[in-house]
Amino acid sequence: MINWLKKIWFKIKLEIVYRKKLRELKKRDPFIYH
Amino acid sequence: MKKYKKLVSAGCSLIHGSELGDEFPFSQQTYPALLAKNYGLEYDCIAYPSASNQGICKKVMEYDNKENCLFLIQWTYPSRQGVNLSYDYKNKEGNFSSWFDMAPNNWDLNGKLSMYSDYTQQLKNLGIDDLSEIFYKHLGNDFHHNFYTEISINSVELILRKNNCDFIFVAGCNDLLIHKSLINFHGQGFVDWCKNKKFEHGYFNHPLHEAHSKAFKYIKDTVNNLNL
Repeated sequence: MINWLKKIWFKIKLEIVYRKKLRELKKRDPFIYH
Repeated sequence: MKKYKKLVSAGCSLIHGSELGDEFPFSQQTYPALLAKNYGLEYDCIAYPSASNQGICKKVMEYDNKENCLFLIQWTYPSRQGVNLSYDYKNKEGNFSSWFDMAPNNWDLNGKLSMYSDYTQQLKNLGIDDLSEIFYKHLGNDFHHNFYTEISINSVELILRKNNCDFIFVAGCNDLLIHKSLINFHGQGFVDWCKNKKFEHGYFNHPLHEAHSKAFKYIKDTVNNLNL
């Protein structure tokens, strides 16, 4: 039970960090145009 | 300047010359092209839109006959990551390729460009959108990006030195200023310098002719001081 909760908590944290970082990276590189 | 046969430029869309109007196969109005013209050198360009630093490294590695060439390489955003897929896909030129440059702002994956909807669909069918999400979720940190960029820069430097080629390495953006061996524009990367100088840019934000003309003058002065 504890492992299951830890896994969910890690996924939530990862998702929050990912979305925040992605916003920052998208602002830094606005250029993907072929 | 020494006797070079050719100036070869590498980089991303900024060096390919996107939005300059003559970018197929590559523009003759970018600052490296103007530099080649100024010195009376042949000009070749292996830059391509969306290139990552690993992609730039691969292009230089694969370039045949480096003899008597002067290379001008403008490095790009470290957050882009070039990978070799385990399968081929059809790129925008209609050729099969396994090399793909991921980027946090990949317009082909977020469907921003409707003119490439078939291409976008193909990438989604292959699961490259999922690959990109997993990559940036688990590996999208500055240390990772900067580490792989440094490996690319150092590898290209080694390859060019082994081939007795001279080279000019330029920072394309401020994220690259940590790499002290790169030439910058008054302490800024090319894009950020253009933005601060308020040079005209195209619809997709690429700096246009005035920017390249001013960059050419700046790099020419720098090259004169390098004793190439």
